[in-house]
Amino acid sequence: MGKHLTALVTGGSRGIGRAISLGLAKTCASTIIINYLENDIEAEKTRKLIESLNSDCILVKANLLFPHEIDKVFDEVQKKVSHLNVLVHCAALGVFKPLREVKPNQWDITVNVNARAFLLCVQKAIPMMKEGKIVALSSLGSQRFVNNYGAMGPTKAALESVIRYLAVELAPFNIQVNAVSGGYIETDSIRKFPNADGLTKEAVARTPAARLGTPEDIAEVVLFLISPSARWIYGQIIVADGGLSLL
Amino acid sequence: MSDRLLDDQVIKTISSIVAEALLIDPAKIKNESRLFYDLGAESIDILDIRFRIESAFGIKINQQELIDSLGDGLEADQIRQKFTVGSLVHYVKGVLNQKNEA
Repeated sequence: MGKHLTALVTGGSRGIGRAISLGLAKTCASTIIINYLENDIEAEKTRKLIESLNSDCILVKANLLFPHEIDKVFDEVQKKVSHLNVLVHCAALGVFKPLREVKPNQWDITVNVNARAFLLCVQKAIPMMKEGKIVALSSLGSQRFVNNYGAMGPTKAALESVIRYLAVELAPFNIQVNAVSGGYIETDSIRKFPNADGLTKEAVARTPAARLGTPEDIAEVVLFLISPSARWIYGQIIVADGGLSLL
Repeated sequence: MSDRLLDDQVIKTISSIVAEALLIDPAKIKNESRLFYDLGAESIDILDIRFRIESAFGIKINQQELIDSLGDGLEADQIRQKFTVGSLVHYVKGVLNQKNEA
């Protein structure tokens, strides 16, 4: 059938978001809209990589912390494309520290980017999707204790609950909503943890697959959820973690 | 608006934003206060302060430009040492002036 889908990837310029954007360009998307917060150089690099795969790429710089900037993203999307088939929410922001030390402004930013922005993006995307696939990225810290993940974990738990509610509400519109939950993934974010080197060594030692996950490991699962093969999967959080959560 | 009035307004707005974000008494915020070392800001607080300034003044702050405005070739700790409320005010005034001239 060739590449025919139109996809919006929030936080799509780097790390897991970039791997997903490139995976979409390789397999199924003819147009990929990438939202990013700040890094013009990385966003431009991703655009070139997507174009080298013969897909169109539209970059939209916006801060999803603010509802009016989310409106701006979708104003741009509506100007450039007539519909959306896929929305992938990779944008995430937060503080890595014990929950007991999290300050009100730090909590607000973390919850608003990780959970609220996803909800607002979905609300804006619905009118553009006659049928579609929505996937968000979660993490094991939503269900289990992870050191210094006290702000992020609860916001990912909120995100997962939003996934389940939306999956039911949007099923009649032929829109599937799911999430992928990863373990420790080799990205810039892992460097933001206090004691990042120690954490990485420990994660590798504790993971049955004996390595960190890669952005591509997660992207492959996202691509599966977007594919027709996942047509019977609704509101699920698919864990892809090299077996880490089994122990 | 005169330069003096603009300066006062920028200083007042930024001090109030910093105080609100970090939950500290505005009276404790001085021009020479270092955001990380004297006021206890963390990286995410700097992002928060930046977003609030962008909203308040209708400007975009370029993180690299802001860092460059502190000096050439600084290491991470030197940036933290030099990053004061005064340096932030100075940078924002520069962006506002550029905006007004455009």
